[in-house]
Amino acid sequence: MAQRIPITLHVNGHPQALSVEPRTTLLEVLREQLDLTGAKRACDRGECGACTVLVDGQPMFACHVLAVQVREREVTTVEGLARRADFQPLLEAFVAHDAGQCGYCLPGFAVAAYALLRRLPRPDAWQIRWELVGHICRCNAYEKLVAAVQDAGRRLHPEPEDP
Amino acid sequence: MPLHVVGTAVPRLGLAEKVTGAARYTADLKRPGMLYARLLRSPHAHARIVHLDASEALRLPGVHAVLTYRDVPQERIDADLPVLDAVVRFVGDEVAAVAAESEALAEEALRHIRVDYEVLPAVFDAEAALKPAAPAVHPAGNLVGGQWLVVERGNVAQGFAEAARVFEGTFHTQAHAPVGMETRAALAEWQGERLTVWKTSRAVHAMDRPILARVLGLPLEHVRVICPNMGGGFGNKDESRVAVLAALLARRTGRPVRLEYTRAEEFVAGRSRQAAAMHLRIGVRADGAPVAIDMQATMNAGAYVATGMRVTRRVGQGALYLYTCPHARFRGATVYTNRPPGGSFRGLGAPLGHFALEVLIDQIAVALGLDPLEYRLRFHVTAAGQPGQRTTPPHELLPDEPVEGGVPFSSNALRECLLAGAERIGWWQRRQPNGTATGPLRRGLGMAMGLYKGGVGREAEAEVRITPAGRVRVAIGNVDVGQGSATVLAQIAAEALGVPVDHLDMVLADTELTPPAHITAGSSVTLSSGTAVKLAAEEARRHLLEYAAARLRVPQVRLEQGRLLGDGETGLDWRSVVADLPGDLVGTARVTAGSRTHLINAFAAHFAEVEVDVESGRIRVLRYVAAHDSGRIVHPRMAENQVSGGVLQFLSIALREELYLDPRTGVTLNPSFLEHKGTSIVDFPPIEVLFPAPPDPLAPYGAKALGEPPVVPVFATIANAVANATGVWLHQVPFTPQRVLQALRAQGKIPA
Amino acid sequence: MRPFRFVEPTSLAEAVRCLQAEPGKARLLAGGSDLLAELKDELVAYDCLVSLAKVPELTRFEVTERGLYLGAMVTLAQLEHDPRLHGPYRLLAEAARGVAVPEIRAQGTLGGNLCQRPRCFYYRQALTPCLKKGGPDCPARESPYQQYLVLMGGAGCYSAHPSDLAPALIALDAEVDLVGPSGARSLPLERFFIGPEVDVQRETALAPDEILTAVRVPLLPSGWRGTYLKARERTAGDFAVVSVAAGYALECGTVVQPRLVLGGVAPVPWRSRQAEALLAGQAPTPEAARRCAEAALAAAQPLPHNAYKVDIARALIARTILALAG
Repeated sequence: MAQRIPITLHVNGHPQALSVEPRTTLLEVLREQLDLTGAKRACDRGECGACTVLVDGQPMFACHVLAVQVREREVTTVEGLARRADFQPLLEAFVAHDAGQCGYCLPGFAVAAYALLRRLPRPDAWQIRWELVGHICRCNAYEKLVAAVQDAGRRLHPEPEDP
Repeated sequence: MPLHVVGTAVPRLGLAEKVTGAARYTADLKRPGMLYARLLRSPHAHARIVHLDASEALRLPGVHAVLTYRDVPQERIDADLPVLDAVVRFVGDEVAAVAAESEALAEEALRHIRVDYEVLPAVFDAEAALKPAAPAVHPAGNLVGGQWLVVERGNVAQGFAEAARVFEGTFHTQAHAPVGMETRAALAEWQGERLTVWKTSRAVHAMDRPILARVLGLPLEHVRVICPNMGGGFGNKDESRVAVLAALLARRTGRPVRLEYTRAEEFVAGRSRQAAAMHLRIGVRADGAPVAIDMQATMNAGAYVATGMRVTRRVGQGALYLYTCPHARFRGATVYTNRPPGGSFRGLGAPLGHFALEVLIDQIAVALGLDPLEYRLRFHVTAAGQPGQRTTPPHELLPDEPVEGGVPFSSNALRECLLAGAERIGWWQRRQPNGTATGPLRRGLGMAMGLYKGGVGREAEAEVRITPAGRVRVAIGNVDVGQGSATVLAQIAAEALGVPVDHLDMVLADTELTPPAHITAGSSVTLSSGTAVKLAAEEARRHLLEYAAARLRVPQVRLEQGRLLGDGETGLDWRSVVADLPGDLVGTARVTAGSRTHLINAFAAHFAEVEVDVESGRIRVLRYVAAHDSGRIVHPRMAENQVSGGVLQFLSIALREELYLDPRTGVTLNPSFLEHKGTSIVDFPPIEVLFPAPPDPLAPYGAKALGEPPVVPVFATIANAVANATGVWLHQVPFTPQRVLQALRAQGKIPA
Repeated sequence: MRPFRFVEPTSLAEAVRCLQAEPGKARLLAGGSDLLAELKDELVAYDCLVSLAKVPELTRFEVTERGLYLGAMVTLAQLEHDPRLHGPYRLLAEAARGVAVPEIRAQGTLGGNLCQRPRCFYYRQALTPCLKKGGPDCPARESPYQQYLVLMGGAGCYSAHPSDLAPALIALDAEVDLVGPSGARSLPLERFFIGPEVDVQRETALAPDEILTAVRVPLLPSGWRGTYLKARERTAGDFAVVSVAAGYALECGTVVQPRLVLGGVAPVPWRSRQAEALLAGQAPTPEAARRCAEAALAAAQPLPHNAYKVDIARALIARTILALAG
């Protein structure tokens, strides 16, 4: 019989007591046990960023970390961020810039961009590119994504000289 | 009349829900009691299953069903594609399907299915597969359809006889994978004899529903297919095997079943771009005018063809039509091999054929001492179309993929595109003669043009329903694969009705809720369904205006931007008059898109500046300008996104993306995002998008195709820019450092 | 992934005991980015993963007057961002920044990077047996796809070492500390890596029950500067086709204490003492850089389809040396 380990994850502010096999990834837990499907399973091996969530505030690829590796930690998914006031400017900027086409990569981009703007309030275009380089968009909406994140930074942290 | 909605940048429908994760895609769906499926795939490129034993797998607790070729209907999915077969034809071909309580369990069960194979000889190269002694991938032989496709205008032999000079070249393009971010998935659920399937799809009406009904022996009306949201189509994801297997497993187990491809499966068993070998001859008169163009293409279709046949014909489109030329011919062979199956991918064969054509044209221009832009300005096909006699009978719609002469275009702004693009990139001021740059980093400017059809010949339907609740429900059966067609169709409907877009509820891609529709393919939705939705909305509008006039007791009213305007009336909200409607006001339309008098094509001219590192072979694209004639632009921001996205996608294919197949075993060596190297967010150059063309007189609101045209000229644009920088034309895509260095060395541009 | 058990020891001694308890069937889990990929692809299978996340001393990160002490669980992101890695140590931060993408650098560790497995397509594909996976022969040697194969030093297996940190750390004269059942030992990082002629199934001298605990970097002259350049097919998130870690100090316009280590060209990070000797005492001119590159590649014996890597390496070496000249 496969080993099962009881773990607690604090997901979007709520403790979740779970029982997992060691091989179960954080993404599987979120999508299949907790029905949080905002994080997408697009590569399942840490190569595309579509599954990005925050673990203790840091962006992480949920598909490429075992649930047991993050036990007792704070996990925030895009569903959790979507309820926050400081996420709204980011969301508005994505829509205003038409940043995205099919949308499958967008929750991952949005989570990583949210964390980026907390660390670097007004990043320039190249900072955004290098910080988000782990995120693939096969529709290649990259230019709009960079513009949206930059705009979101301005919306979140306006400075006097901004028009 | 001024337009209020078409031409404006309304928010893309559904984008906010996609950002917040609220939008559900197929693999996000769950049904009560749902089981998970996984597939066992062949480790051999060509083999016969001689023994198969799944009993051990079935004994595992939590494993509910295993399907093999012995358990499935004999009815085929496509002409060459059985549901499952005793013969496997590529490494990754489906052997068995398992349903279990969890994905991990289903995967475990795969390891317990015993299969003995008799390994058969395999063939991976298309030219080799055409030889008489080659192993037959399918019983009828490796040449799909048993013959070459041949289309000809005039007589190329006569044309070459008239030519002052003849140029020729051989060109190759690679196999690569479209791989949208979402992998293929299907969820099947039965209620008695009725089946509901949620699926990644481009054609719920035109393909999935009839195929499921036929293969499973069900009446069409017992099958409902829904595509909730699509995570990227790119001309792909149309085959139905995934849905048929999920439905069969669900029927066997009596429980809903979800089957989802892994990323590696998507790379191997999703439909890839066929590798092409093309030979092109062009004869020109003394002044350089093309007098004969003859292209031959051999397409490596892999193990199954599906929609891949359409790809081959489109390889010839540029050669047959881009330059005014009395004699043109295209011959194409589509060839089965034991490679993973090809399929349709953005642009079909057009980017491949345009690569060969536009590179050879550049070589001709330089050989004749003409500037490549000047050459194109002189000889590109004009609005008059090709010389010659129309062969389509006058009462018939003109074909989508023309060869005949004597037919004008509805509009053709190639010249405007060439001039606008050249101006923006600074062609006249900045371009040096080919190969004159020096030093380790050499810069060059290059260009290419292209044409593409879109939508002609497709049947489309739409239903527009005005409800007493004050909403407009627009039902169209197409799938929005992510390109934004739902938004564009909403704009057209809103414009035709005279209401804002946010009064509309768009319903797409559900066979129960929408009228039949064609596949979302060939850049066709705007022209075909756009026309249908415009007509349906106009009919609904007439009903509404009649009702409103009667209701308000005025002789007549108008509807503009949601306000009813009439004699004495000043801007009553239309929604305030419909509350007492006894039922919905309905407009419907059914059209076959196209024209009996004109060809409807989109055009483009692309320009790039590159820097070639002649020491390391690396090409950097510094700047890109894409000028497009797609008629009127319905949504400027989305259109720009569509063009820059298409250009970037193909820059990546031009420089890197390729599926590596082990030549000994047929195993795909790099089925991952890590090693099949797409563009990343730090890789892209600035892309400037220009739309210098006027509206098309025949298309809905003047809007022509836009989905695929942006990808058509990209390979040639880069190859020609590299040639300008280095003096060497690359004839094989992708342009890897290895190939760049090889070509430079072979032509003496760097020390041996 | 096949099932495995998971244990999380809280001390090094306990971790060693976990490894010893199941010889060859237990494997250390650090950040997991490479190991999880191998497990998902079923290239390897283990009964037990021994997590090092709760062993406190492995995260030690000290900069002292004697040099650097870097615990094996220090993350790549820490190396990339720590302001103490300046001067001579900037080379290490540059190399760390060249690895993968930010999320992976936050998870990946120093130890994991040094112990990662090769990128040869045939090793990475479970369907193609190869020597490294216990198969009878090497299918890669005649393959058209040889970007991750060696230019020198192959023997039966031709996969190149992919680490970005290793060339940089060898250029910095790093040593590694290992601990096993019989105690601790140290060796120069350069000797930590082994070629296929020693053991085709391993790339390091680490025994199955040993743990890499730390990397130590000695103090370097304050004027010494190094840099790391990486040629890859994609601008980011990609492995090296060729990489170069080089460094030297300039005294009166001439090079002292030169180091030149190549990645991606040999089964182990390839330090070229010949090239270093050629550079020592010279001014770092284009001509000196070119001669240095030729010397470093004198031993190159390309495979049928990777001779172009020699061109890339030649250009990259020369550019790295010149970049340091200021």
